Amino acid sequence: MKMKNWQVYGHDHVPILIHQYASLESTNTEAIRVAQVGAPEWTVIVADKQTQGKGRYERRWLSPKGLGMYFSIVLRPAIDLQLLNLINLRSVLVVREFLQNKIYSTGNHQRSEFLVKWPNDVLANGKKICGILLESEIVDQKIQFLIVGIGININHQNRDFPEVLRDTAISMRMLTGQSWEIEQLIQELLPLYQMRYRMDQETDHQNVVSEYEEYMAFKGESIEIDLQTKKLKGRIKGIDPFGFLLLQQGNKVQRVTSGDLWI
Amino acid sequence: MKFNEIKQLIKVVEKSDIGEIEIVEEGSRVRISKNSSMKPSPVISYAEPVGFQHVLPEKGTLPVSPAPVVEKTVPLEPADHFDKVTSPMVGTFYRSPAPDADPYVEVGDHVKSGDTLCIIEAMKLMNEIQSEITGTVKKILVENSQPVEYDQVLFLIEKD
Repeated sequence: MKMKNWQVYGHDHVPILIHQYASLESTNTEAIRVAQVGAPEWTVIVADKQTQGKGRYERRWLSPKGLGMYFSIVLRPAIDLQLLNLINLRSVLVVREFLQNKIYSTGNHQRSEFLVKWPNDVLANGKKICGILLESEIVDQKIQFLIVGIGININHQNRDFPEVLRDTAISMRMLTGQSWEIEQLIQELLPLYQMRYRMDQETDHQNVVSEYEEYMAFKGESIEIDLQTKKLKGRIKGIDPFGFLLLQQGNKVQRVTSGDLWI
Repeated sequence: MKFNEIKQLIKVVEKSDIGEIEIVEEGSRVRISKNSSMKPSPVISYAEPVGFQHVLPEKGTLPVSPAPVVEKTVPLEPADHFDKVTSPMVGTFYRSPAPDADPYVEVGDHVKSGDTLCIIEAMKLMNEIQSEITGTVKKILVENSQPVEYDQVLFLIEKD
């Protein structure tokens, strides 16, 4: 059920090919499918709604039509696998930058604060506005493709979220009081993403960690990491050169590779 | 810490603002320092990575037996004639695509080149690791949802 194909161009005229569907189970699943049959880098799968949007541990990302932006980017990075998560961090930084620019451009909401919560959520005024889930395929230590799946809350009103999320989720509309044209936002966000991604390639990804730490939520604060079977407590010190969380526990620093972060 | 990891870390330190980094793991200590006397640089010192369940013991509560991760990296007796599939990265090892789903492979299964063997997850990035070997899975060396190190052996496969 393909709806339409269109494309936008980044600042150096590399086309971004967009396949937009009225409905998909999951944009990540479709992006993996097209990547497996050879879709080029900068193919993007967009869905107006997802019936089974993916979150971590088979959690669902609720994806009704008209309320959120749901898309997945196919990348084929030639990067050392140890540094792959720097693309993860860049992705969340781009969304943070984009949302801040858009919200501030309305002129009335300059005091809204946009931060990143490790590893890859965007928080607006402390509430979640964007989530990211990445999937890759690796053979023989080489990456075949990387799918960056992004979900952003755009036109939700508080009542549109399920009750359990109403205190912790937020949307562009809730921040500004106005509704937003989702297709237009995609058209603006993708070239910015491409530009930042290519800048990182040119600079060997060396600016990602410092930029991330600049916008990192709860830095220096006491937090808890949920490792499913147990919890780790400590103070956020920052991230290491690979993007892993550094957690200060007394005079010891733990490196954490996975887990859900809570304050 | 593996040689490749150290090499990688040196590269990263070279290109960053970090002046010196020291990594302390059980039984080893690695310090990488830029040869600079111009200004004092911040020192980062941290212990080995933790993912799910794998937490370093508190001081004074050192376990009597070696940590399980050490056992996993010790090659088994018959391993020599099997091909090893190693972890391409640090992360958490998953044998199935979802908590309730069947594992990708079991011991005794025949796998083809390109078949998915497992997922290594780090920071909500799910990396599907595919076999480059066609053969029979002889051993799975890591438990589901355990942390794995770079280059740690995950599977032993007997080539056809």
